[in-house]
Amino acid sequence: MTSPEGAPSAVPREARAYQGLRAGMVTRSIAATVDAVVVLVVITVGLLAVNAFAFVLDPRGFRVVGTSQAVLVEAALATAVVYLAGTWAMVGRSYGCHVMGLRVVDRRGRSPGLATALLRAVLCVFFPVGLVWCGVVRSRKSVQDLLLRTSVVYDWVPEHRPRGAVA
Amino acid sequence: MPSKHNGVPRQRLAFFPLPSVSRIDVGVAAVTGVVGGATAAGRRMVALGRPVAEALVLSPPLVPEGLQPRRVVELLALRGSQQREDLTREFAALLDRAVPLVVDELLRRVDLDAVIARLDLAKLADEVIASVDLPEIIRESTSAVQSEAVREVRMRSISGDEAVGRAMERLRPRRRRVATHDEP
Repeated sequence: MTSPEGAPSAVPREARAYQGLRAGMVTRSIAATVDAVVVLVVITVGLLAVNAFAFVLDPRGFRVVGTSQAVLVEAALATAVVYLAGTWAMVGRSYGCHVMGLRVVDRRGRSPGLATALLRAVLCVFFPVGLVWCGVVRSRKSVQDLLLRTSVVYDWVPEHRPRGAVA
Repeated sequence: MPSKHNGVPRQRLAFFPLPSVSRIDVGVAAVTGVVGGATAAGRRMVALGRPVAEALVLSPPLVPEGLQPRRVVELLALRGSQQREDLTREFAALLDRAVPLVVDELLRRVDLDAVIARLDLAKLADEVIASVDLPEIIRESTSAVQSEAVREVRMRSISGDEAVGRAMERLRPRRRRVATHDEP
């Protein structure tokens, strides 16, 4: 019922045994999918906003902006990198991690720094297949985790704990 | 098996006729048998004699109804019951008057702030919250549907992680199989 510090735990009983353990491929894949949907929504909303702004500026000469596939892909990749790096560095979890009860931590159990988060985001976006490795090895570490010495752990506690060890 | 004294088997006394039987056991059985028989006989005599004794003592023949001891005992019991009820009522009234006065005087003399300062209220509150599992109640009372759905998805994904881990464990060579989880 209580955490190691003696305070009441917000984690349900059935999940307490997993709190702080490294997450596996299934949970992390679902979280990554949620993040991909978030990026897709952001890109869509951004594209609509840009086009609306362009239409307001010049209604007569308006032409749809960003229909090129290359532009869309580049925008999506850049958005994903910024979104993942920002959320991991600021609160230790993206929205997908939040939904699935995960947290990205460095080797000390803290939220990764901005540089680590940025590198990790780049690796995750441009080499997503590296996630599969966490389902293969016993340590449940992806290629990105092995390179940057990070981990993704189950953490159902919603509060942000930047300096504290995980669970 | 005979007992030993200084390594030499002790011989049983010759005057006891049955060497294989313990004299203590025989003695205990004899005493308990006698006592038990006497007790049973006494009980039977009391059971048989009690109605006669009661009839003779409490309701003796040739004594008027109003003077019989049974009548006297019944009157005494009735009067005692009434007096007990009166005493209880008077004592309750006395407590109603005295307790507020005593409590007021106690509270006037006791420094409650000092008493409260000596209590670890935070720890007490933590223990109470821990005992009633307050977070669980809050979780159940607020946004119950959403949290239940999310919790279900999370637990199922954890089960999926475990299943993948077990499957990979089976694929590994037997000599390398150890615990699935490592601490981060």
